[in-house]
Amino acid sequence: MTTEALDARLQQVRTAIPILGTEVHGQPLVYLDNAATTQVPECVIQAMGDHLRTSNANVHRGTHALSIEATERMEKARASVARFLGAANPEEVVFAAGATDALNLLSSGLQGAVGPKDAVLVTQMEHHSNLSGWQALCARTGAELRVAPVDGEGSLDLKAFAELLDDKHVRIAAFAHASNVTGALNPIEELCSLARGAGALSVVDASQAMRQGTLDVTRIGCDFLAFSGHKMCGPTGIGVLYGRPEALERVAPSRFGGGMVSSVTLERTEAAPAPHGLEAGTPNIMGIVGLEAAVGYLEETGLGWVGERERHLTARLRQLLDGVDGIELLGPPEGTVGAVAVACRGLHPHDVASVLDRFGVAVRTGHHCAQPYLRALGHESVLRLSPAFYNTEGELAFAAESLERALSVVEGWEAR
Amino acid sequence: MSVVEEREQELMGNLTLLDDWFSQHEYLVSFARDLDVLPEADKQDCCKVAGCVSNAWVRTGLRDGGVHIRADSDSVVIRGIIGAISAMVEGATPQQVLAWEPRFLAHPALKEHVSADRKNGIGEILRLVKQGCAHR
Repeated sequence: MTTEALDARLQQVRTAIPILGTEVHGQPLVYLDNAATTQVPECVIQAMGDHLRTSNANVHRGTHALSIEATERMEKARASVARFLGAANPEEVVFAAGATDALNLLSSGLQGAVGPKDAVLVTQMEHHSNLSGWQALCARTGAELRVAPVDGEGSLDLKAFAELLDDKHVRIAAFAHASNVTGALNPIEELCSLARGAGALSVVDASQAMRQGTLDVTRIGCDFLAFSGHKMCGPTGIGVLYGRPEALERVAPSRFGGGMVSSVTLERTEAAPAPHGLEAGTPNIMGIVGLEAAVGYLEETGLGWVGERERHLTARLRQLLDGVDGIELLGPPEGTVGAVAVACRGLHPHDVASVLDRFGVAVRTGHHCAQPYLRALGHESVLRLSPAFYNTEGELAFAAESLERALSVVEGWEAR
Repeated sequence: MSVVEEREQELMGNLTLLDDWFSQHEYLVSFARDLDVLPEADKQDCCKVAGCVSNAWVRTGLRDGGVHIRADSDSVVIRGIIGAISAMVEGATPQQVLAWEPRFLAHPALKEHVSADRKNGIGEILRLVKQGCAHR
């Protein structure tokens, strides 16, 4: 593809996302907080608005035209997401409020799958949503929580991961596709294969990897996979739990009422089969419509292009930041995607980020919901810059220059 | 008007006179210079500010019969804000500090400087200062 064609596609992408033209504090917005939430194209906003304007009604068991249309929109979205994931059937897609909600559905619902002689395996790099729920499951059942460590660069120790599965006591192995802090990527096909070989259910937290190219759950070989709509250009409040049918059957409902029931007496409630049996209450129908539109947008933009561009931008950002004095870049030096974590020597990252904000540069600071991982990397609080495919190289260069200026400002304050 | 309220009014007046974010921020941070820094040995859990995005410790005591604060933080901005609070309450009676209803956080200049996360921390700092005065 020629540079001219690339620029035209990038311009088209940026034009499609209205918020990218915003100014903050009188400066053009340079949005580098995509690992927290991505920005939403006009077509997704339109789809949600259209639903509210023309088909807003509660779904399932309705007999009026609007309810039937809303139900059709929802189930069509389910089929679109299933196709997007390479799943065999729409019934393998359970709508949840986000990846955290999806992972909690599992850690609550798989209680019957583990006992006191069993173990649950997670990694040291997990987001709290793929750690805390498993801790609670182990506390309830007496199962052992095993943690595969990361190495000095923040990559998963694959040998240790495999060894922790050796005794065949692990029943559930849960791991991230990509770190939300350093962008370190895990070889999830290999991890799922190791889990399967040991007789464990595999749970992939794909939150940070949904823009990395075509995902195929059959090729990955996972039992479960969770992701959020708002990290792939969709709205907040919607996510997906994918499950292989035989695996989904093992997930007991943990929320009750609404569309998840099959029959109810005063003594007993029978749940509907998955996916509906795991979708209690009125769904976020507008969010589901938005998610489907986001899927369509990414497919039309070209998932291969999106993934390749994000890998390129992440590498370029690391390269630019490598030239900035007074900081330490965390995570593996190559092969990361979507996030660059920066430790500021002797300065508090929140102070630095507040100055960056005045320059229009949006980043995030803190432990990023991964306190054990941060501690393994030797830090409590770091800056995170997280590009997406719609950022420009000019924005990355501006962010690096702004970081230098911000560090200088805060160093000046410290010196007073 | 108590001495605490007078000093608070002066602080807010100075912030109003400074017309850009960086000048206002430098003014706040300048209060860190005169903060009586808490030694490491005194940074205990009982005086650690909970819910703050930075690490901060605040101890309220008496010096020559008036309130005196010793504190520290790994954030220069928080040290500045604690320093400003310390300057406002220094030498006041515990009763004056307890009766004080802080207004400075609602000042337009400070609303822009202090993120929601930090507002929680500063609220906790003010609570610790008052708690330290409560039994004196």
